[in-house]
Amino acid sequence: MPKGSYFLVFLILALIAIGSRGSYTPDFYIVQTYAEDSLEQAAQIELGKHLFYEKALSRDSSVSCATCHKPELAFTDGLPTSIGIFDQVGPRNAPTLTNVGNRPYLLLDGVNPTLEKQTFVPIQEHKEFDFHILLVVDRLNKNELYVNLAKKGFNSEITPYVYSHALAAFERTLVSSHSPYDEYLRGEKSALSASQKRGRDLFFDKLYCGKCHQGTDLTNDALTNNGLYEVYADSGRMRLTEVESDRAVFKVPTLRNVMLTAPYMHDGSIRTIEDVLAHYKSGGSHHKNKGEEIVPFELTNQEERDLVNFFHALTDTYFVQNEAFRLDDLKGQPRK
Amino acid sequence: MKVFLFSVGLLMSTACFSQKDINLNLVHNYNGASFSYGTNYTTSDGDAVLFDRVQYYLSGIELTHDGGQSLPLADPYVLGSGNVSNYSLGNQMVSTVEGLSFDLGVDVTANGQGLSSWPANHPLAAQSPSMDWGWPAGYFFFVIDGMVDDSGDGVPNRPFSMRGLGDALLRNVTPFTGLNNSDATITLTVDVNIADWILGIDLAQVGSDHSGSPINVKVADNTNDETVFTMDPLASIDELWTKESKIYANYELPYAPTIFYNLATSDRVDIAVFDMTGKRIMESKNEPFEGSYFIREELKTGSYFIVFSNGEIEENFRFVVKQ
Repeated sequence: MPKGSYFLVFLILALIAIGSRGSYTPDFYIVQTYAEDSLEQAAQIELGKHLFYEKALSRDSSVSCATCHKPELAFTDGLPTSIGIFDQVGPRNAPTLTNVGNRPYLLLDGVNPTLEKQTFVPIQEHKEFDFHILLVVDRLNKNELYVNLAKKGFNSEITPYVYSHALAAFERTLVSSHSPYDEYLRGEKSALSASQKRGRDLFFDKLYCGKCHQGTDLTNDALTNNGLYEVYADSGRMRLTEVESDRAVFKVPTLRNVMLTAPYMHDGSIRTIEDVLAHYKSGGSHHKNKGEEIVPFELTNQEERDLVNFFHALTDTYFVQNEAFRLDDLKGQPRK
Repeated sequence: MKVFLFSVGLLMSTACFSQKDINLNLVHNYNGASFSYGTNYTTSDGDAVLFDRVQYYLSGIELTHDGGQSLPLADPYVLGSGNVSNYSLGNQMVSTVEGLSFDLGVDVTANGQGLSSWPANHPLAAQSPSMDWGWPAGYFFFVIDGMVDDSGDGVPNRPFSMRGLGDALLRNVTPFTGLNNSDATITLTVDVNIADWILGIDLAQVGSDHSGSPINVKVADNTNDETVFTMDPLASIDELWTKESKIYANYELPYAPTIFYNLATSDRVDIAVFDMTGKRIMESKNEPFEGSYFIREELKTGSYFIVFSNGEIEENFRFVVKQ
């Protein structure tokens, strides 16, 4: 066979390989900015991962991002509301970071537009890190590993820019797309049990859950009120906007890995998924900003079991066990 | 011939202008009295009030010059501080300045970019005390912190903190016209009456208000309604400096205070920080005679001295660090 033919065969095989890989991941899943062949980007992500677990970000070096965002809990902390330095209890439930790179805005009231900017929030908050960004970068610049990674990733010493962009780069790698439900969507019909399929039908067709919890990440990223209380201690988005229609308005969360992210609601006041269902079955409390789709409904015991089973199908075990997201395996890389 | 005439015309047009240093002199006062932190003043309601911190952003700075031409500054940001008068507006191609305009606050674009987009020492970079708030990811357009007397004994005792957030608080300050300054170095002197910013606000009811609330809207509105910024085009623009050194510690970060200072000198100074044993801990050379000095070290709890000196003056000030 002529040399040119060998090359042609190789090219065809390569294209087939690329094509099959492309078909494995439907195009509705997020595309990471991470590129394996980019040393700069790899260094940025690696630095970001270190910073994510770095307790020196907090004033007394007692807590890090990972304190409230634990990988095994889909990057939540299992607490009603988070605890910062000096055991101070914060006002809100830690949100999951599952597919956080897909979110158009951050924080439970959606007032922060980018991941990069969000990274400054815990530093300033008195009940979180209670520190100052300039003192943070001074600390980080004393760490030889971090300085080297910053040099590789940003050609810079550590600055507020490097800090925020490295953390954001790491957070964008926190991609979950391998739950049984994902496999089902990819065409693997046996990925869901019969009960889970019934639960799925209930979720999207019979009930109104899918009106808000829709799309790839089971959220429409809307800002709404779900009737948790008649009177809220937390004014939600109104805290920034001063607009009454934003009172007690919060972001619709993703339901990816929802069985790992209890307790639920903005204040962590609902302990179990069954109690969440009970809340929505009741139609919630009266509130002037409550979403109009939230109305009472009934479920049989079997239907409730089907729904809960469907929620279990949203758990991405690969995601929560991914060593690439943990500090003890710096050689691993996030799976695309 | 056409090329020749064009070249002559070009030379004539550029010859009209020259590169000049433009300075902005913000004279902070309280109803005409010299302003300083920690000094007692009286509100319009007759209550004693003092201020810990007054800082604000000016943006969109634009000069009118040489026959009504407009020159938007390439870097149009100033972080005004109650203890600082002198700000550079850079070296500009102008001959005669005829007008000045600016906004109170930060323009929408920059307000959306965030502090990490700017080089260190830029007004929009990270500051201490902070001029940004992470939750809504925006800058404080103004910070007016202090204490007011709410018990009638003449001693300010109730803290208040007004920190305006949100694009809606941006205010176009009424432009200044009728100037005619063609000095070699042009200094534009603007009086800033801090009393006007708090008119009509019950400071005892403010508490800690870091938002775009009606109270902060009132502060923003007062900027023009009460003419916080005024300028007398006929006034002398002789260089002004403080005759008495004023030094004040801001303890917003008790573990890393910021020292606001305005010294009785017009020369640059060296700054050094000592612990109580006399050991030098920090130092910085050739600093401005007015400004803020961030104790950017993780010092142990205790008392320290900061010394400002330049051969003409030597000022000592004691402050406390509390971890």
